[in-house]
Amino acid sequence: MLSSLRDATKRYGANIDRFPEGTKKMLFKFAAMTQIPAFRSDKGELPKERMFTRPEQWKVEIGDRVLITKGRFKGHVTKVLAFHRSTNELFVEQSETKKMVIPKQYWQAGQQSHVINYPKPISPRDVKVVSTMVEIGKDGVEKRTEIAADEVVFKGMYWDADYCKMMPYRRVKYHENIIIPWPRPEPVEDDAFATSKEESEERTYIPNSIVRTDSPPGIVESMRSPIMRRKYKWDKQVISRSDEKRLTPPEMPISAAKEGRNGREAENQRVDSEKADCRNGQLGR
Amino acid sequence: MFQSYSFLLQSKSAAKPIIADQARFFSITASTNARQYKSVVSRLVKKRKEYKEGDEKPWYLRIPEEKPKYPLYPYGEALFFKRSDRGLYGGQERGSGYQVSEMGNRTPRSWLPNVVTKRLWSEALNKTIKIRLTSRVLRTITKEGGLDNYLTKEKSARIKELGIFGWKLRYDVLKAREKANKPLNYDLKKNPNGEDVKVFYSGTYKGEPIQLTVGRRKLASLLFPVVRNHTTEPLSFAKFGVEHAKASFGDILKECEGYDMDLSNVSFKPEVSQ
Repeated sequence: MLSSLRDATKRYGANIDRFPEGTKKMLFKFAAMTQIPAFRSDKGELPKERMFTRPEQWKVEIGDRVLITKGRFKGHVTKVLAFHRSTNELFVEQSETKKMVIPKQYWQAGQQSHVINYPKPISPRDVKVVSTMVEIGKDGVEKRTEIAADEVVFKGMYWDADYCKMMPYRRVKYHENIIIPWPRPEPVEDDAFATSKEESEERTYIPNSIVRTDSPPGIVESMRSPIMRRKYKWDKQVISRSDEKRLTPPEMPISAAKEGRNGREAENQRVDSEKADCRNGQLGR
Repeated sequence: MFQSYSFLLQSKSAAKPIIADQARFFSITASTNARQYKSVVSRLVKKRKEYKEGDEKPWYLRIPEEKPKYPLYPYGEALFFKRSDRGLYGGQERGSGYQVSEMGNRTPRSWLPNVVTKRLWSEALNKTIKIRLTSRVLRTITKEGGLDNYLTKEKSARIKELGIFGWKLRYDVLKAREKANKPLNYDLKKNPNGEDVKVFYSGTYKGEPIQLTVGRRKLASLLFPVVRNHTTEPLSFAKFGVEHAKASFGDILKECEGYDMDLSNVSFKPEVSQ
């Protein structure tokens, strides 16, 4: 978006952040009232700065196995299905549900009833990440142990090719030698119209010099509109005759008194010079 | 010192003044009565850069639409008491001081110059001008013998006290005088009906004597449509005017001859042709 437009939206648009807390709550309440009950969220949307953005904040990733520590499914091990980013909560496979009445236009494929069980999201504080620890005993037999980390800490970073970003090492607190790996994300399939990674990374132009440009001469001028009315700022311009006229105020005419005085002075000078000439003549004679 | 000098001049006992005309007196202390025009002199007037044709034009320079009508007042406009630029205030401003009570209490107070509105006759402009002026200036005008004399005096103190309004009036008056003193560029002749006719130019046209009743510029404007009809490219009057700005009367007449123009409408005929 153009920066000017962005500023304009900030200036004139309904920016909720400008309002005080009480007014914000009231506005959210009004907004909820306009929604059908199925789509009303129990908790309001968090402010943007409090929403989680980094894996260290979430502590789990989509696909992680977790142990639920609170609620009806306390003690169950399930899988993280999705993030509810606006409230910093998780959707897990096995969770409490609430009954919801769905209008027919929003029915999913295969839905039979207006009433469905919709999963309730849970807080990441109420889950413990579960992993399988593999130990090789003295007798060379693999020993697999399921562990649930009470708490996790993050130390060190590595490049994760699947996530395409730097990821922190997730370690068990007080047993930092135990690293719980991040789950593998589901591979994303490219669209038919997508540019392939190799193609996008291909370098098509390498400048030979930062001093001399390879671009053809006059390319900058050709980019300017030839019918632009305003003259280009950096083109040198000169004062025209009419400009000079319009910039120069008229001179004050010489008054008769001044003219007379100048005349008298000129006359005196003339007389003096004549006298001097006479004197010189006399001397010469 | 000055008093003794005047006394000597007036004394009857001395038939001739003792002090000869070569002797001069100098006053070392500045006269406190002389007007300082502090508020006028202390103004800082920005120095204007003069631009000539062909100079490089800075991108930030704004060219006004019309050329300025009046010369710049050397002391600039008033910083305070702006109304003094709209009349003849003689450099006076709002005064300030104290109102002192019997007990010696000082209360700040201010006073304005005694401003009156007058219609004054200008000889050069041949009209009355409605002016707001102080009574002090009115007295000076009376002493000077008229508004024009007041405005056109050359003393630096006068120019300081004129202000912008006075400066503009001064320009008008001097211009009017200049115009009045300009010699006529035509001869007055009488046509057979006894009416006055202005003859601007006498010369030969197509081998015959001609006396033109139009000026040089008017003749050029008559020539313009003929030249335009004989020009393949579009010709604007402005361009034509620039080309003929410095052409003499004879040159324009010669050009008219080249196009075989009929100038009988603008020529003076002393005799009525039968």
